[in-house]
This record gives sequence, structure tokens and C-alpha cells, in this order.
Amino acid sequence: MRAYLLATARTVLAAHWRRRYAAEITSIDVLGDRAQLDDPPSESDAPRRTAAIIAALPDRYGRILELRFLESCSIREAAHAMNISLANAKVLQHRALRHAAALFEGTP
Amino acid sequence: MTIRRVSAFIDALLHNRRPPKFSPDADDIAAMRAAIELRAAQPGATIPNSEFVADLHRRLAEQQRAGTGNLEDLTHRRVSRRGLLQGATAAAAAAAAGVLVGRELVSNGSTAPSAMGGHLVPDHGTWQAVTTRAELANSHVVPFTTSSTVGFVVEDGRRLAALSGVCTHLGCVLRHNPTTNRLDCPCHRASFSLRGDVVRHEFAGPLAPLPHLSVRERDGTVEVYAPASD
Repeated sequence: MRAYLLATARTVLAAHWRRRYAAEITSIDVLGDRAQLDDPPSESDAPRRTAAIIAALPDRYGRILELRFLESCSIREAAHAMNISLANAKVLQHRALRHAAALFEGTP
Repeated sequence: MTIRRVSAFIDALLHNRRPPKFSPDADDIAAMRAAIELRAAQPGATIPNSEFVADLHRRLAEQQRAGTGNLEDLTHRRVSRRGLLQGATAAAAAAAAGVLVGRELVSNGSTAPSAMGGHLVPDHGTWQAVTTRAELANSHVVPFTTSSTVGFVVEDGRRLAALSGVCTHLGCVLRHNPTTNRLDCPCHRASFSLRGDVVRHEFAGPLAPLPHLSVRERDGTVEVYAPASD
């Protein structure tokens, strides 16, 4: 039953991404996620991983992601805090995320 | 590169809004993925939004009604693929929500649900006033809500009992039915007795009884032992 629901969720998610962005942005790893469901509940290690990734980024990249994702600043507030223009903040955020994406891919 | 669009996507992501539609390139996709990973790491991100869960329950209940309404009719009607897919989406999301709610309960330190209908004893609990003896004398079944639990205090003759008010199927909040004197699930056709036993349900697998909470009376005030509020 779980496998069936996961497979369904996977199909629906893939259809959603393809419909809206013509690309599969995220996907569900049916085998991996199913194994996880059977494990005893554990604390998510996502916060630890995120902190490690932000720490591994060059200063300004890490700073803008910290402001946006951990301190819930708007892009305008983040730009102000970093003393840069709004347009620059958007560019910086974009570059920082691409950089972070490369790091995410390198970790399990 | 569509930096402005990705920025709007991230704004929506951070505020739980529906992100705008656009055609991202490979760089954008990488950035969006990283943003999703970062968002998922925020505290509470793994717990489904309560409004979402409530809406899901409502949709499932509607589907359930539609599904059981007239089977004959349903089999003769051509079911669109989209309709089927939407049904499946709701079911999958409900399963996910059920799993998460289940995990939260267990990680809060309560007794894991067992065939005996466990006893919910939080690791860090306090005695919390939920009703009065006078009110119980009036109605015998009194619903209560603490910062982290919902349930019913039941007076059965001279004995007091406190039951969880959450259906053990998918987590809908039970209602006391004064006519049958049972706790009915508003989502599916499940009922529990005032002792927490399953009276009836229509699911393929077994349904766990309701967990009990510790309850006591002090100077006319009825208290349950529930997780301490922060």
C-alpha cells in the first residue's frame, strides 16, 4: 500500500513539475523513501546539512542564503542588510543557490 | 537566465504561496532545487500545514461520500484520468500526512499505538485543568483541547477517563454523538466507544483503539496529564 502511494505521489509530482516548468525539479526516490518510512522515526538531518552547506559557501553567498532562508528576510531586507542594490541581491541569491545546488549534489 | 522569475519563485516558496509558472533553464532549475532543499530544512517544514490537512480531510470525506453514494452509477460513468489522478493525489497526500502525524506522536514520547489502545504519557507533561466536576455531572462527556492534545473526558458512573479525540485512522478530530453515545469520525465511517474501543469502521486493515490520557480530579477541577506548553 505504501509503495503504491509513494509511486502515485511520484507520478503526480513529476506531472506537476513538467506541467508548470517543463522540467522535473524534484522527484521522489521510491525505494529510498520507502526504506525510510519503515525505519524508526528519526530527527531530520536536513537542518544540519543545510548549516554545513551554507558554511561551505563563500561568505557573501552564505550570508544571503542565511538572511533569506534562516532569518526569513525579504529580498529587499537582505539587500539592505548587505548594503547592495535589490537587483544585485537577486543576482547574488541566484548565484549562491546555484553554488549551493552543486554542494547539495555532492552530499548524500 | 531568468533571475527575476527565480527570485519570485523563492519568495513564493518562503511564504507558502503557489509559485509562478515560467520556463526555467538548467541554471534556474539547479537554483530552484537548492532553494527547495533549504526551505525543507526550516523548523517545522516536515509537518503539514494544519489548514492543508483539514482541507484534505474534507476532500477525502467528499470523495468517500461520492464513492459510496452509488456504485452502480460510478462503474457506468466514464471516470476521467484527471479525476482519478486527483483522487490518487489526495490519497497519497493523506498517507503522507498520516505518517507524519504518527511520527510526531511517537517522537513526543507517547506510548506507541498498540492493539490495547495505548496510554499516552508525555515525557514532559503537566497536569492541566480541562473541565470541572460540575460540567461533567451535566453532560458526562466533555471535549477538551490543550496546547498539544484534543480529547474527551468521560464520566462512567463514578470513574473518570480521558481519551484522545483523534481518530486513529488518519487523524480527524472525533465528535461525540449524543444519540449513540459514541465518538464518531467526521471523515470516514469509524466510531469509537466511550472506552476508546473501535465500534465500527470500514477499512481493510485493523483500526487501533483510542489512547487514554491520565486524568484526575482536584477540588472539583478535572485535570489531564498532557505535554507541557512552552
